[in-house]
Amino acid sequence: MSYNVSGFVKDSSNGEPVPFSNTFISKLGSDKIVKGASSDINGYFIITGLEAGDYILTISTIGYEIFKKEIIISNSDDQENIRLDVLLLPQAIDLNEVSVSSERTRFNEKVEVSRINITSEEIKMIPAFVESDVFRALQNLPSVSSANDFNAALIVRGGSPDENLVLLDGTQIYNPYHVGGIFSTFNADLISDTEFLAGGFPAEYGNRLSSVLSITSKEGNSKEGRLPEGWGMKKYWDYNDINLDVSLLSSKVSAQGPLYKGSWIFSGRRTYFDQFVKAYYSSRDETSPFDYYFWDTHFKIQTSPIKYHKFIYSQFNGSDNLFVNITAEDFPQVNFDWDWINSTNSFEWKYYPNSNYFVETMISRTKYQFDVGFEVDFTTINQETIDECEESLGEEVEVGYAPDLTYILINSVKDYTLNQNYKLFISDYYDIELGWEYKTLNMAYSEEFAGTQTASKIDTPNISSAFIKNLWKPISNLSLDIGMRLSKSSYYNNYILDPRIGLKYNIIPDLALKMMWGKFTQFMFTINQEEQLLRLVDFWQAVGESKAPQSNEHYVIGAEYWISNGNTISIEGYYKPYSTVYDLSLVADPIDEDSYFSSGIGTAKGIELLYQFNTNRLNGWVGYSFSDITREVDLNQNGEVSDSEKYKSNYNKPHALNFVLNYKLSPKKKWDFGLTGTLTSGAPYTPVIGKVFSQSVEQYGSLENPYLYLTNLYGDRNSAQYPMYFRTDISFTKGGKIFKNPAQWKFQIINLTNNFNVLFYNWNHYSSPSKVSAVSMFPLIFTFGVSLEL
Amino acid sequence: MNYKNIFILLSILLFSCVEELSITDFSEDYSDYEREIRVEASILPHKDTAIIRIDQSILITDDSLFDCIDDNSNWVGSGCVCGQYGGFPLEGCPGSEADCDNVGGKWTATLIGDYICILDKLSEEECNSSQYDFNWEIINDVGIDGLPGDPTDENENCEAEELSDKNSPCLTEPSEGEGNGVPDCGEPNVDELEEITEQSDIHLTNDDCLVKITRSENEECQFKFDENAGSMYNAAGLIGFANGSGCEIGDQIVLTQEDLDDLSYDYGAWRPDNCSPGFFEAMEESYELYIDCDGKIITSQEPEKIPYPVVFVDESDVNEDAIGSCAIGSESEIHDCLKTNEFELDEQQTFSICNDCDNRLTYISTSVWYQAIQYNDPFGNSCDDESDEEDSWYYYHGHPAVAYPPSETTNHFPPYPNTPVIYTNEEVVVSNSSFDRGCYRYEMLTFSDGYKNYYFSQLDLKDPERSNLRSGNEVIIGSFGIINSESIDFIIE
Repeated sequence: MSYNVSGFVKDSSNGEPVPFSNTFISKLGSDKIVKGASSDINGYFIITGLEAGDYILTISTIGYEIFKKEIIISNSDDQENIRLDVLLLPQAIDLNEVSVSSERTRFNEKVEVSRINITSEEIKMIPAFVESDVFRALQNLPSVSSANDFNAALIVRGGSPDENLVLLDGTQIYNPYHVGGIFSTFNADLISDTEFLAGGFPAEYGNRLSSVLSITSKEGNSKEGRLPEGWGMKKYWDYNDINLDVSLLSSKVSAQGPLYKGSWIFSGRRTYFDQFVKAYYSSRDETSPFDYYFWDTHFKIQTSPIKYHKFIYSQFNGSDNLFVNITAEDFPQVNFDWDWINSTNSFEWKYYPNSNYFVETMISRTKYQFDVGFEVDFTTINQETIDECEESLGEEVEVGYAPDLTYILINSVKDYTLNQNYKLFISDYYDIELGWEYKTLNMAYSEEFAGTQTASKIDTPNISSAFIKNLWKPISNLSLDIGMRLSKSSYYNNYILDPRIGLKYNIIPDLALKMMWGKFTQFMFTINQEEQLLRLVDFWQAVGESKAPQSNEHYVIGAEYWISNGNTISIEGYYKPYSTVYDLSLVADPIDEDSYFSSGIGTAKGIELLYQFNTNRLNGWVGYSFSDITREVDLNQNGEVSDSEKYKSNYNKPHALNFVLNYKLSPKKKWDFGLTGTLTSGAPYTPVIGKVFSQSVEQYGSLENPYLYLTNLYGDRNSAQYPMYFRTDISFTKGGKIFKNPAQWKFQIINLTNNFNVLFYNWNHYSSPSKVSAVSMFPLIFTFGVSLEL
Repeated sequence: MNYKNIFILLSILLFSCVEELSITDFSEDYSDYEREIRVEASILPHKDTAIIRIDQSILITDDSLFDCIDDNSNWVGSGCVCGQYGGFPLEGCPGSEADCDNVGGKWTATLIGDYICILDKLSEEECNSSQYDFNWEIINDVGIDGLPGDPTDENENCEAEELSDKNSPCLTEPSEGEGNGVPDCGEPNVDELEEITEQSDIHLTNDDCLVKITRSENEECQFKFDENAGSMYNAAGLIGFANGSGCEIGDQIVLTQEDLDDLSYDYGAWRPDNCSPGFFEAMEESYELYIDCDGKIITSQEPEKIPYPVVFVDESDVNEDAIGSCAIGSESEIHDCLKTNEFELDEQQTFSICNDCDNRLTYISTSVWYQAIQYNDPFGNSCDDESDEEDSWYYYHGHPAVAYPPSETTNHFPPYPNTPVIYTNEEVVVSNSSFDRGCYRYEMLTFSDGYKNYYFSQLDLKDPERSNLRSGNEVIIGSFGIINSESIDFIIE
C-alpha cells in the first residue's frame, strides 16, 4: 500500500501561491531524500508512492525560510493520503546556499524548450515608455522583436503577431494592446507570473503557430485585513493594500484584501491626456478637436469554501476611445470616432482531491470589438457666406449637417470556451495530463458606406480539441514530454492531429540538452498585412470554410547551462517551415470571399543566445539572435509562385542584440538603475526606383485624370533594408515616503542617444530631382511617475 | 506640469521626427533603373473611338519636370482688382461689364455670383491712377509656399497662440518670393500640370511608334499621335480648382470663363486615323492591340470584349419580381431585358434638397467594378431643354466604385445556371445644402477584364496579372482594355 502527500505552498505574508518550490521527503533521522517534487504555478505539490514510515517533509525556495514537518504514515487501514497546505515565511536574510530557487526547480523539472518567466518586479525594473509593460519587456528577449517603437505586437521567431496565444488567467485575449499598439493591455502591477514559450510549446496549448504568453495575475493578499476586529463583515470581506500610481499620462489604483476563505484584488487605470487637451481648449473657449483615452480594470476573487475545491472568478475590461474632429476653412469637416474594447470573464473550478490527480474546469468568455466611424461633411460654407447669400437671394439658405460621406466599420470576436484539464500522477517517473476544450466563436465584420451596408461577413466556427501529454522520466537524467493534440473546426472537414515531442537530457546536472518537434495548427488569423507600421486594431477572421487552416512545424534544439542561481546561458536553434499561411489579398474580388486572402508558405530559421545573470545588485540578460525569415505567397492568385513572389518577410531582421540591466545603486536608499539596449538589423522594405503618373495615389489608369499624381515605381519586394536600429533606455527608481506612506519615484529616458531610427521613407516626386525624407521612431523622450502605497 | 510642457512633449513626439535625406543615399536602389514604356490603351465604345497613351516612366534623378520656370507663359504676377457684391455696384468700381471693358479690365465672375473687374499685369501705380478704386492684388505671385500670405508660417515667426488666428500678421505677411514680380517654384502656373502634359518628353510620338488595334483578327485601325488627343481635369475638379488653384483674390474665389476652360488640360496621345465608323462599337467582337516602338513590339495578351454599360433604374423596381426577372440568359439578354421592360430611369431626374433625406441614383449591371464621375454645369444650360446654349459639363469629382458583395441587405439576383449575376449599386447625389442646387450629370464607367485588372489591382505594376501587355516575355506596364459608359442628368432644386 502506498500513499501520497500533497498540498499547496503559499506565502504566509499574503497567501499568494509560491510556485516551483522544491519539495522533498526524507526518512526521519536521515538526510537521504526518498522522493521529491516541485510545486506548480499554483503552488500545488504532490509526492506519490510513499510507503508506511516516518518521514520529514522539507519545502524550500529562495526568499523563504525552509519548512520542515514530520510526517508519519502508518500501516493501519484508516491511513489516508496526507494533505498539507504549507505557509512559507518570507526570509529576512538571504541564504542562497541552502535553498533551491524556483528557477532551478524549473530547470530540473520542465522539459519545455524556449521558455522564460518574468515577474512583475522584473517588468517594472525595465525602462518603458510611460508605463511598465510586459510586451516591451519581452521584446528584449532574443526570440522576440517588434515592428517598430509604435507597435508593441510581439513578433516571435518570425511569426506574425496573430500567431501568439495570449492568455490572462487562462482566458484568451484577442487584441492585447492600448493606444493602437504602443502599450499592452496588461497592468504590470497585477501580474504574478509571466510564462513565455517562444516555440515548441506543449500539447495543452493549441490554435496558434508561434508562441504562448501566459499571464497569471495575482490572487490578492488574503492575510491581515485592516477592518477593525469585531466588524461583522470582516469575516467575509476585508482590505489591506491600496496603491496609487501617478505618471505623466495615466493613473493607476490597485487594492486587495481577504475574502471569505480566499482573497480579492482589483486594479484600474486610466490615461488623462484627454483631460489636459480639454482643459486647454476650454481655456480658449473652444471645443477640443481631439479626444483619446484608455482605461482598464481587472478584478479577481478566489475562495475555497469547500475542502479541496477552489473557485476563481476573473474579470478584465479595457477600452480605448479616440475621437478626432478636423475642421478648417474651405476644408470638409471630418469626424473620426474609433473605439475598441477587450473584455473577459472566466470562472474556474479547481478540484484538488486528496488523491493522485486533480481536475481544473473553466468556462470563459472573451470579447474583442472595435468600431470605426468616419464622417466627412463637404458642406464648408461658413455663416458669413450664408448670411451674404441669404441677403442676396432674399430667401433662407438651408445648410444642415448631413455628412456626404460616412463610413462605419465594425469587427468583433466573441469567444465562449469550456475546457477541462486532468493531471494524473502515476509514479515518480510518469505523469499524464489530458484535457479537452470546446470553443464557439462569433467573428463579425461589417462595413457601411453612406448608409448602406457594403460588406458583411459573419463566421461562427466551433473548434473542438483534446490533448494528451505524457511526462516520462525513463532514467534520472532524461525527461520526455510526448503528447498530441486533436482538433476539429466546424469550418473544416478533417480532424487535425498535431503531435508534439519534447526531450531534455542532462549530460551533467548543470547542463541540459533540449529538443522538440511538433506540428501546430491555427484556425483563425488577422488580416493585418505585414507592411502595417501601426497595429491599430486586429482584424480577426476565421479561416474560410473548407480551406486548410494555417499550419507549421517547429524543430528546436538547444542547450542550457546552469552557472549558478539566476545565472544561466542558453543556446537554441530553430527551424519553422510554414505549410499554410494567409494574408490579405492584393487582388480581392468583393463578391468572391475566396479571393479575399492569399495563401502561401514560408520558413523561419535562426539561432539564439541568451545569458541571464543575477548577482546581489545586478541582474538582467544579454541576448543575441540570428534569423532568416522568408515568404512565398501567390500574391496575384494565379496559381503559381513566381520569383517575385518569394521575398524576405517584413519581420526579417537578421541580427539582433539586446541587453537588460537592473542595478541596485543603493539598496539602503532604494535607488535602482535600469538600462536596456537593442541593436538590430533594419527591417526590409520595398525600394522606390522611379516614378510614374497616375490617376490617383493608389490607382493608375487613363480615366478622367491620368496625369494628376506622380507615384512610386517600386523595385523587388522587400529587397532593401532600413538602417540599423539602435535604442537605449534608462530608468532611475527611488524609494521614499510621501505623507509617511511608502512611495516610489521613477524617472526614465527613452532613446537616450536620440538615435534616428527610421520608421519609413517618404518620397516627394513634385520636385526635380525627387526628394526623400525619413520619419523616425521614438526620439529622445523623458517621462516620470510616482507610485504611492496607501 | 503645465500645458506648454505637454505640448513640448507632444511636439517632440510628433514633429521632430522627420529628416530630409539626400537621394544619393538611395542610389543603390534606383541607379540601375532605366526609363520604361507605359501603355494605357482604352477603347471607348460609347464614343466609337479609342485613345492610347504611350508614355515613359520618369527617373528619380530627372531634373526637367519641375524646373521652376513658367514655360508656357501663363503666370500672372499681380493685377488691379475692383470688386462688387451681390449684383449691386460697389461704390468706386465699374458697375458693369461694359464699364470694366472701358478701362481695359476683365469682367470676372466669382463663385458666389458676384463680379469683379481685373486689370491684368499692371503696376501698382497704374491701379492708383485709374478712375476707379482698384486695389493692387497679388494673383499668382504668392511665393514658394504657393499660398497668399504665410499661412503655414514658413519662417516660423509665429507664437503658438497666433497660429490659430488666420488674421495674425505672422500668417498674413508675405512669404518667401511673394510679390517679387518673378515666377518662383511652387507658385500657381509654374510647373503646372499643363506644362508637363504638353511640353515634357513623357509621351512617345509618331516618330517613335507604329500603333494599331485589330478587330476580330482581320480588321485594322491605325493610330496617329495627336498633341491634343485627350483632356484631363485640373486638381480635384471644379471645387478643388476653385479652392486651391491660385484663383483666390483676397477673400474672393474668382472663376472666369478662362478658368473654366483651364479646368481641362490637353495631353498628347494616339487617336484612330480615319478608321471605319462603328469600328469600336461592336459588342461581342474581340479587339487586340499592336504597338511597335523602335522595334520593340508590344501586344495585348488576350483579346478584349466590350463590357455592357450600367442601367440606371428606379429604386422601387429593385426586387426579384421586377429587375430580378431579367436575371436570365446572356449578358446581352439581361441588358436588353432591363432596357425594354421600362425599368430604366428617364434621362433626367429631379431631386429636392432636404434634411436627412436619402436621395440616390440606383444603377444595375453585370459588372462588379466601376468608375463614377460627377459633372456640374455651372450655367445650368445642360438641364434646360429650352436653352439654346451648348451643354457645358465640368468635371466635379470622380471615384472608383464596386458592387456590394452579396448579403441580406444588398440586392442581388442569383442567376440561373450559367447566367451572370445582376449587381446593384447606388450613388449619393443630394446633400441637404442649398449650395448643392444645380445641374449635374453622373457617368458610370464599366470595364473589360484588361482594364479592370490594371485599374483596381494593388499588385505591382509589372505583375503579369495586372498588365496584359507583353513584349516577348517581358511584362509592359499598363493595359489594353475597353471602357463603356452610361450617363444620367439630374437637377437638384
